Amino acid sequence: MVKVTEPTTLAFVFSEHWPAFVAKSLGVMEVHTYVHRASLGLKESLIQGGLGETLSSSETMIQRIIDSVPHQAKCWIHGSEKIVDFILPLIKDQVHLNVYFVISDSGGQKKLSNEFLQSNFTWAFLTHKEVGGILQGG
Amino acid sequence: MWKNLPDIRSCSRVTPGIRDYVNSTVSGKEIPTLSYKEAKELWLLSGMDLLPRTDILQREVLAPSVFSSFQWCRRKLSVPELMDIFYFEVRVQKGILRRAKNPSVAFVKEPHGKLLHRLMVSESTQVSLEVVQEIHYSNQSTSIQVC
Repeated sequence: MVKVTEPTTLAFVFSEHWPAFVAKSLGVMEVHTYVHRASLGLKESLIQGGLGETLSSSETMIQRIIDSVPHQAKCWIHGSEKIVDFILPLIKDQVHLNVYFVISDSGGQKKLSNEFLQSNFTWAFLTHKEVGGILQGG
Repeated sequence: MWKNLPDIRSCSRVTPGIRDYVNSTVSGKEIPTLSYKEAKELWLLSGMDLLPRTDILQREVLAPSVFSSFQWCRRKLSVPELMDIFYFEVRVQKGILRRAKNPSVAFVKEPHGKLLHRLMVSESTQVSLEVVQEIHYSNQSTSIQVC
């Protein structure tokens, strides 16, 4: 007897200044995007650009993360160290989350100023050039 | 822990240059064409292999221009060009540019969308394999019932 289950992937993408356009192309079924520090004009523009359905407030995002407890969910935080400092306390108690940080290192220093992040997570340095881009740093 | 670090770090076969993002239909200060060396000495973006992150908004680029009698001009990168460089989806880009008079360019400080794409691809590989296995099992189950 084989029990067929629908595999479910939940991905939460916290992206600073602009949304994660790439997630849906990777087969992620449901993407909730919270745009940190977005102005009203930018939000309207994103709605015009067809991203209105994915936009959420930070409170809604946190609640969705809490509600996702039965699932093994992934959480991507994409931006500067500041946004990581802001979001990490909100989600650090959610043990069901696999948390990934993508932090800009424009100067190529390969070192974070936040010691908690530096010592409690595994980091890999990836340059923009390695992924087919033309910007310095990674 | 990253599951596929060698995959994550593998170099892309796509190797774009600055010229691939520079539009010839943006006007600027007319100048004759410069050699790579001259562009480099003038600190123009065109003379660099990779674009700097810190002052990308202030630096000028030597760009082809259909509006210049010399066919070349010197100017800063336009917002649509920056959006292309930072991997904005075209539909979103148009939505922003249509509505915003002075669109925010704060995104130039942040990690590039391609980095997120590479990492998400790498981390989603295992999920895809699990899906394939589920489908395979499902087919087996059906065939047993038919027999």
